Formats: sequence, C-alpha cells, structure tokens
Amino acid sequence: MSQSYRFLPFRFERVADRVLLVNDVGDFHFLPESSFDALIGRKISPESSEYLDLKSKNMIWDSHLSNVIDLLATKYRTKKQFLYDFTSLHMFVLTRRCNQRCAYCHASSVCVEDKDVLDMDVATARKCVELVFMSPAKSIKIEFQGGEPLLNFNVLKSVVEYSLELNEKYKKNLEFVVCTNLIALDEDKLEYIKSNKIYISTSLDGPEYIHDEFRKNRSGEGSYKNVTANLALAQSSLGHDNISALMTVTDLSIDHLDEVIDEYIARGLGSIFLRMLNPLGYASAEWNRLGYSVDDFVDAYAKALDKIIQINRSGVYFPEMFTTLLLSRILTPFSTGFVDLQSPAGVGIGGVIYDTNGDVYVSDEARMLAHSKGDKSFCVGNAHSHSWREIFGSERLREIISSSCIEALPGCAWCVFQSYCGADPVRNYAVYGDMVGKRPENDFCRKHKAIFRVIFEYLAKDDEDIEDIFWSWIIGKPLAENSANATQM
Amino acid sequence: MRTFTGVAVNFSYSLIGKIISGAVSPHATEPDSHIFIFNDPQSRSQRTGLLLNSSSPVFENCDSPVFKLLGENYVVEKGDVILLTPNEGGTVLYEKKSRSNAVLVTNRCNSHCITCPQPPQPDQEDLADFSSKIISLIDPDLEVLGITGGEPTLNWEGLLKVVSASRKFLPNTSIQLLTNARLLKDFVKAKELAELAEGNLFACVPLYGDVDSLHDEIVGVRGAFWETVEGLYNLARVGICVELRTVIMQSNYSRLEKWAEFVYRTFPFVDHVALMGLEPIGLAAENIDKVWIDPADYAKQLEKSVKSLHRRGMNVSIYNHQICTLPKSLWPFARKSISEWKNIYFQECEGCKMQSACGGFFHSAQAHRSQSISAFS
Repeated sequence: MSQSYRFLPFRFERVADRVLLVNDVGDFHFLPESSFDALIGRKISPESSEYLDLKSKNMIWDSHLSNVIDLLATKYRTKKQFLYDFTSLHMFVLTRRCNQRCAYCHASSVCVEDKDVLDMDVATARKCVELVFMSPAKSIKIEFQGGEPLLNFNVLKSVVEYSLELNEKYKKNLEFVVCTNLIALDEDKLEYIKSNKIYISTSLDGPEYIHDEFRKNRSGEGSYKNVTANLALAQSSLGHDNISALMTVTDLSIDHLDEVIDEYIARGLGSIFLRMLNPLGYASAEWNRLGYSVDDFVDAYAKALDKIIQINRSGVYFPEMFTTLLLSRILTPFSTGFVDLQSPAGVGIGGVIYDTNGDVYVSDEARMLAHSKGDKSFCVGNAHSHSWREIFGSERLREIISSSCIEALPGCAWCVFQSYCGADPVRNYAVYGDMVGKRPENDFCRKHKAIFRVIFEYLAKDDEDIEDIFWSWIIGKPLAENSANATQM
Repeated sequence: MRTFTGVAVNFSYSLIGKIISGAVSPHATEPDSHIFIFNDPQSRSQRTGLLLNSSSPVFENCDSPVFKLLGENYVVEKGDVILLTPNEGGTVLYEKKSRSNAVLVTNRCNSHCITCPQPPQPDQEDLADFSSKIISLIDPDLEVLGITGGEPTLNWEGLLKVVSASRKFLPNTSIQLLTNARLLKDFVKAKELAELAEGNLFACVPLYGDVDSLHDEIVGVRGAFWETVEGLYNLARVGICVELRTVIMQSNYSRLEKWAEFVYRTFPFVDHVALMGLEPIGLAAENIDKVWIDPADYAKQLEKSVKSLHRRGMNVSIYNHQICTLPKSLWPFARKSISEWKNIYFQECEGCKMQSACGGFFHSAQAHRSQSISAFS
C-alpha cells in the first residue's frame, strides 16, 4: 500500500553495506537496502520507527511543509554562516627567502640574498594591514608565511603592531599565527612571540630519518635536530597548547605513519594533521620521486586513523585534525571555517594571501601558480594600487566564486558527501585548465570521497567509545575533562 | 504552597505582607511573634501588623492588624511574603529560604498536556496584579523568580506587568519563565519580552518529541510542535536563554535518544537540556496507565540520551529522579529538583547513605514510584 509521505531532497550512496542518505543541511541516516527500497516505493509504515527517524531527520514530510522548509532554511543558514563572516584568514608572505630547501616545497622558496625583491617591506605591510581591517569579519586571523617568515622579523613586528593599533578602533577578535620551521628562532623572537600571543604552526615530518630525507637546510643537511631542539624551547616558553605541527606525507613516510604518530606524541604535540603532498611548486617537478597515488594515501590515512583511535581509546587525547574538521561538518549543525574545502570555495571570501610586493591572491596555490608558471589568473589586485572594494568586489572574484559552488558542479551535484565538501577552483584550473575541473577522476575529489567513506564506516559502527573519541575531538577537549565538569554544575 | 490557620484581629480584608522581623517587636516579647509590613489599601500607606502564635496575648491597646495562629505554630521567617485572609487563614506566597519561588500570571492554558501536574482553570481575577504585589515585597537579593501558570503568555499584558514589576523591584533577580513558547511564534512578542527583561529572563520550554505527531499527541493540540519550534527559534533570535525540557513517559521514552540528537542538531543554542521524571499528580495521575513507565525500565535510553547530549558539549540535567533508579554514570547529572515543600522519602529509603544527594519524591509518589527504590548502605 502506498503511504502519503513525500520526499525532501537528499542524496544517497551505498556505504558500509547500507544506504547512506544525506540532505542539504548535513542530516544523515543509514538504511538497510530493503528499507531503502521500501522508502523509495513509499511503503514505509507511518507507525514504524524508521518512518519517524526519516521524518525527524528531514528526509520525508507528511504535513506542515512550510514549517519544515523554514526549519531547513534556518539550518542551512547556520551551515553556511562562513559566508556571512566573509574573509577572516589573511596570510602575509613576509619573504620568499627560506633557510631550508625542502624537496617538496609547495611555495617554491628561494635563497637569493636580494632582499629588496624578495621581502615584504614595511610600506607594503601597512597597506595590507589596512586592507585586512576593511573586512567585515568579526574574527581576523593574520598568518605569517614565507619562505621563512622569521627571516623578515622586523616586518612581522610592524604588522603585529600596526594591527593592534588599528584594532583599538575595529575591535575584532584578532589572532596571529606564524608558520615557521623554527630554525631561525632565538630568545628575542621567542619573547616577542610570547608577549604578543602569536600561535606557532611548524613542520615536523616524523622521526629523524623521515624528516631529514626531504626537509634539509641550504647546505643539504637534515634539519631535524635543529627543529626539535627549538620546538622544545618554544613549548617550554609558550606552553604546548600554543604550538602545533603540520606534516606532509611523503613517499618515504607513507608506510611509516605509525612512527610519525609516535614521534608527535613523544614530542608533546597535542594533535596531528596528515596532509597529502600536493603537486605544486617543487613537488610538481619531482612528482615521480616524491609522489604517490590517492589510493595509497587513503590506505595509509585509514591505517593511521585506526592507530590514532586506539591511542585515544587508551586515554590519550590526540586528535587527527583533518578528520576532526570533517567530523564537525558531519556531526554538528555548525559552519566550519576551513578555507580549502568550502562551497562556494573559500578563495578570497574566506582566506586571502598578500604577496611580498602587495599582490593579493585568492589562495596560496594561486600565488604559487603565478610564481611557478607566470600565470596571474588568480591575482585580484595589489594593496598599493587597489581599494578593498576593488579587490573583494571585483568581477574576477565573483567569477571565481560562482565557478566553485559544488551544489551546481557536475559530479558534486549528486554526490552523497556534497553537504560536507568543497571545491578548489585554483587547483582545477592548474590541473585541468578550467575552474570546474573533471570528476570523478579528479584526485582532489577522489581523495575526499575516500576519506568520507572511511569516516562514515566508523560512524556506521555505532560504537559508543568511538563516538566519545570523535566528539572529544570536535569539542576540543578530553572527554574525561568534560565529564568532570558535569559534576560541578 | 504552605498554608496555615488563624484568627484575624483588627482587620476584615485580605492583606499581603512581608515578615520583617521576629521577636523584636516593641509590642510582643514572645519569640514566635513576627512583625509584617503591608500596603494598607485604605490609607494607601505602608503599615505594620503582627503574626502571633496561639499562646501569645494580644495587647489591648493595639489597633494594628494581628493574625493569631491556631493549633500548631507555623514558622515563618524574615523575608517571607504571606497572604492573610480573615475567614480562610494564611498562605505563604514567597518563602525566602526556598530555591523554587514562583508567581502565577494565569491558570489558563492553550495546551492540554497528558501529564500536566496543575491542570488549567479559568481565572477568577487578574493574577498579574496579585503577583506584582508579591514581587514588590520580596527582598531584592532573590536569585531566581519563577513565572508559571497555566501558560503565562496567554495573559500577555499580565506577563509584561509581572516582568516589569520584577525588573523594578528585583533588578538583580533572573526570571525563570515556564512556557510552551507557542505564542512566541510571534516574533514581535518574543522581542517585546526580551526588551523588557533586559537579559534577565530565561525560558523553560517543554518539547516532548522529535516529530510533530508524538509531541502533539502528548500536548493534546495538533500543530503545537511547530508553534513551539518557531517560538524556540524566536527566543534564540532575541537572545533569551532557553532550557529545553522533556518529561519521560510511556509514549516517548523509546525515542529519547533520537530526541536528544534532534535537539542538538535543531536547537544547538539551548543553554540547558532537562530530562524530567513524571510527577504523578493532576492529569498525569488521571492518565497514569497511559503515561507511567518505571524509571528502571528506561534507564538505558536515559543513559544514552544524556551521554549523547553531554559528549556534544550541551549542559544536561536529570530532574525528579531518585538516585537509586539511575545508573551510576548518570549520578553527576541528577539534580535535587523537587520543590522543598513537595519533597518526601519513603520507608524503602530508611538508612540510605545517599539521601542527602538525592532529590527524593513528590508527595504524589505515594501511589506511583519505581519498583527499584532501595537504600544505599
């Protein structure tokens, strides 16, 4: 007998031997194949718990449609809150010079001593800071990049000081992050970083033999000893919570991620971000030596995630940050601010990067495209010659953004993971020559789909311990700590 | 509310007074006598009166109102607000030492909840004026003042009057409004309330199910679910804090975990989630066969729901449950929520080591309580 319910929009795919349904606001539900058939055939009984589950999760409706739509609209607005916030991440390339020469350098850094060309000067830095504070975003994160930003520390200081001065007026939640290999860190710099509450993001690829294989100084020696010594120094001065590290999975470490994880824990790093090597900068040229397939990466990621979960089960709080980001998207009703994976893309409207000469690029990849191939397609202006309105209201930026709504991109439009995913028009352009790109053979797409699958397979287990662990990552504190608070209410 | 009996001397009208002292009256030397102040409706001024215990003599030359208690002495304390009615006796309207004082705005309601402990009635008079008078006498160090009913929003002007009175006389007190929020689907009303309350009001709103059919069945009104949902969103928009509540009963316990997840995904802004045990009185007592479920029989669902909300970072509490009916993991969430004057313990509880941590029972639990009540030794 046909039932009188109607469908609300959802996408679906077979995952973990069941059918996964996801709607536009990220509500999801697993159904056994037979129940899915019943659902589609309109044969689910209104008395059954499955019916109520599907109704509760806005997959079907039977009355009060306008209320249901209002509810979904509210949830949709909440999920897309990052659009209201507008550009909050502002990256400053303080210098293109670097004291390292990493084999896979995405930023194509150089060692030339010609500072005039390769460093940002104070006048440019001030112009960029003025642009930053034109953003309507309530929270502003200024991230120092390079090259190695500590090599141009005076300009870093002038950015910090001018920002603090302007913020007297604008009253933003202002944060600073410096992305540094730590090699040039000394006591004076550390003291400055500490007194201005600058967060440190560094790079550690793993134990010595892994790290040193690709991360070398200009004379060809591995930087592990130097980096870890300064990491310990910074940790003791700033506290462990104010420093995190990124790692890049290489052809060497891909089969040894367990050792990388152990190294991170031994070094007192509170989390890890397993990052796939991107075919950008020097890595692109040396892909044959350094690269690996998406399948290999996802296999290694899945194994590493399993190990990380085991570690958390044993009572050590240690999140994998990319998983945490995706879990936040899947399990919470909130918007998440990760500029590399948004729809529309975060390029320009979530994050922006100011090059040493004041050129404004929509993303780091956009800047690299200009330096490695001379293609300035994603440069949307210059801090010296363009106003905020001219840059952020430009036709070019609008065109880029409107090419990056995955809701309307072929392949993404019907993908079950769409509500949690995003687009990278710059990368598509770099790889395929246009901003839309091609799916499903697109590596960016394949990688994310496979990772979503890994995560949903965990969620399908309905394991309370795993839920506890995943939520402790999302909430950002150990569950035991969270529980202790309950008794004090 | 507590009541007492006595004889009115020197007055023939009802009066509301506040106890301002005991045993320091120039007229009375007895320790059980209290002075109260009240606004005299005839002279329109503040006057004092005396509350005397049965053995105290009344001074002959005294023309102030005196209320002489009959039978057992009733102890009131400084700060309490009382109602004295010549032919009916006295009522304590506000008890200073209690943590659950509330005033009424109306006895009427637009819902007909199957578990309502205080079934709605028509109003004989405007309760808002009466409640405003009580508020004007309460000491301003009160932490929380409840506004309840009935459904307070049904007497909208009255509700605003009571909130204004609270803001005027109790500027540091937070107002706890018990409402089904259905009429707050009107954004203008929600905004008016928020502006008047200036951040000092929080709403306790019941939502009994994660789907409309389940909730509507329990509250007895089709469409109520969606009105409450709209009301909740409006409360969030105007910045009024919300405690979302459910009462666990036969028809909704099996979906409690789904409800918890629905609440988190739909109303992540709520400040507090309360899962409440049934109070077997009023309509709940009448419908007991349809609504009663032993807490021991839903312990698993309750545990999963509370854990689910807790791990999501929500503040969650369990009200009206005895500790021995809860798995140990839930003890940190159990609050002693039963009003002092309603709370009792039973024979099964004798010698229980956990009694001081336990909320105990409603008086009405004499007829219905969990089979698993037992003392901790």
